[in-house]
Amino acid sequence: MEATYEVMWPRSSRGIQPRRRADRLDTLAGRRVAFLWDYLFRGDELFPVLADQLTDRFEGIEIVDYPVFGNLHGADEKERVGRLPEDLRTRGVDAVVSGMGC
Amino acid sequence: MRASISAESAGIPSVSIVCDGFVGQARATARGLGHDGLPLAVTVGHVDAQSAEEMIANFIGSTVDQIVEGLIGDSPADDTDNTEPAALDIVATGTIDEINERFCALGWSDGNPIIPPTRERVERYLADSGHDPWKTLGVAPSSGRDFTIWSIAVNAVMAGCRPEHLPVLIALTEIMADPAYGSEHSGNTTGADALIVLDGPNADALGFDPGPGVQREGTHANTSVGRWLRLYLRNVLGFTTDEHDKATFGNPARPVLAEDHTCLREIGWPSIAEQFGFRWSDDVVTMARMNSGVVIGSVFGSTPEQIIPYLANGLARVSAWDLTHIHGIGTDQYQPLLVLSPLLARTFASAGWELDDVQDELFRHATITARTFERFIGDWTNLTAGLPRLADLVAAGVLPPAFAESADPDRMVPIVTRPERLLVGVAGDPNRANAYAFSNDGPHGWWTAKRIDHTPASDLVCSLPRSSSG
Repeated sequence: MEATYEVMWPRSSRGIQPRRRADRLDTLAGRRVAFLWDYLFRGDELFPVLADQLTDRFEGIEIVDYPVFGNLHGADEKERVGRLPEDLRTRGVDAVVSGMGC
Repeated sequence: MRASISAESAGIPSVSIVCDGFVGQARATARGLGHDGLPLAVTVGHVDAQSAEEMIANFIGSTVDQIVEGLIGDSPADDTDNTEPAALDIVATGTIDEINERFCALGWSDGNPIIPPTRERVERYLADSGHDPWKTLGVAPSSGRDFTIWSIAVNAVMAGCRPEHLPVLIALTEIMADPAYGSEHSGNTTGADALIVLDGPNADALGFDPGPGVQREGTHANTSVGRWLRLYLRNVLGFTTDEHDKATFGNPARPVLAEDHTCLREIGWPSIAEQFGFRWSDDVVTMARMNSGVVIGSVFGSTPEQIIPYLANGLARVSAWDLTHIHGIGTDQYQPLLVLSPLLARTFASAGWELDDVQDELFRHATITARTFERFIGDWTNLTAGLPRLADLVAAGVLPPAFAESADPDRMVPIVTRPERLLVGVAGDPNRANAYAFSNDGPHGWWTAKRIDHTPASDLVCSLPRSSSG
């Protein structure tokens, strides 16, 4: 009779605990929205379009554009992303749109 | 995703714009960082393959609404999966064929037959190591899974590694846990794969072979340790095609590249480990992810001056979009590797050339036109925002003056910022006049070296308090 085996799981548990997501907003009107970009995949063409679209739809919306935060990918990524919570709070940002993942 | 997660951590709602081929990886990345189910706004198709008009029409017609919906309204439901097994759960029972079929079906295998990781085998693998199986060496930044000694051993059993290889596997895990390496990028679309370089006095005793066919399967130690890395990337870091692995093509797992220490000692050149600051007496693994490789075949010549141009040409040929790691995706992080056969290394050494002499001359000869360089990092790839010219980058202090010695677009410019950025190793058939040039993937698996500690761990040694009364 052929041998049988009882085998172990080759993965491991997640040390990262689930984290609570931020509450959504009731509207973007009058809110400050930051754009964050990894300087890849044509964000420089799409974020201006998005700014126009959001401005048309939501009165009083304010855009904090991606150059304020710099390139969030590459050699300085960890430092810049690590600084983001403080940067966003300091600038009174209410919501974030980040891209481009392709 | 990491920027969005950083914002969410600060209590600021976010939405991430991704191409539709990136949705699975985005969700897996968020899950790995504890933020399952973050809102995504998906573009139609891949933006790089669309005209500006088509891309913008798609964006307005589909993606903008998703962005708005992701930021306002009800908070998304928590869909965290809490149904995973525990480490000591039996996840499958069956014959060796059944186990292999099950592991392939669940994505836990690389497709080659595995040795079934029974509890007895895993415990036996660790028995003499002294390691606490539940000790963690960090958390995988991609999947959020723990780097445990137990998980290292389970995958080592599967790959067929010997227990004496455990210290090598631990050192490799330490590299993947090191933020400087950037293991979270191991599934990027261009599909680089890791190259493990092994140096040290115990390489032979551990069974690693630096000789003929060093990058081909065949030697147990080189092959099984290379295979373990692929399995560990799949199973613990989550680099499977339904999670983090977005490689368009990819490569097979690379066997370990052991350096030829007999040759290095004879010619007095530093090993790669020594080039990273370790001592000759240290056992060390050094790892980086490689985009491409070029064989520089049948190098003809009996003097350094005769063979340098061809070797440098090989380095230039392997360097293309990867140059964006000098400026763009990376910052001065293009550091290709030239592996010389011992015969070629001796050609230099017998003429009195030290390693830095070779690096200086390779730097001088490994050049491309400025026009080609700018096309690789900009015009052809769109990998540097704003399509900067090299002269502008030199003027801004980003690149050294060698990149803008004239305004001629056909001037020759180097492929790295300085000679030391050209790593040189020695391995392969000692009697052949061939070399191999690898291009590295910059911060997406940056050169990182760790010492291999063969000392048995004392994790499980009981320490009794000394009696104060003697």
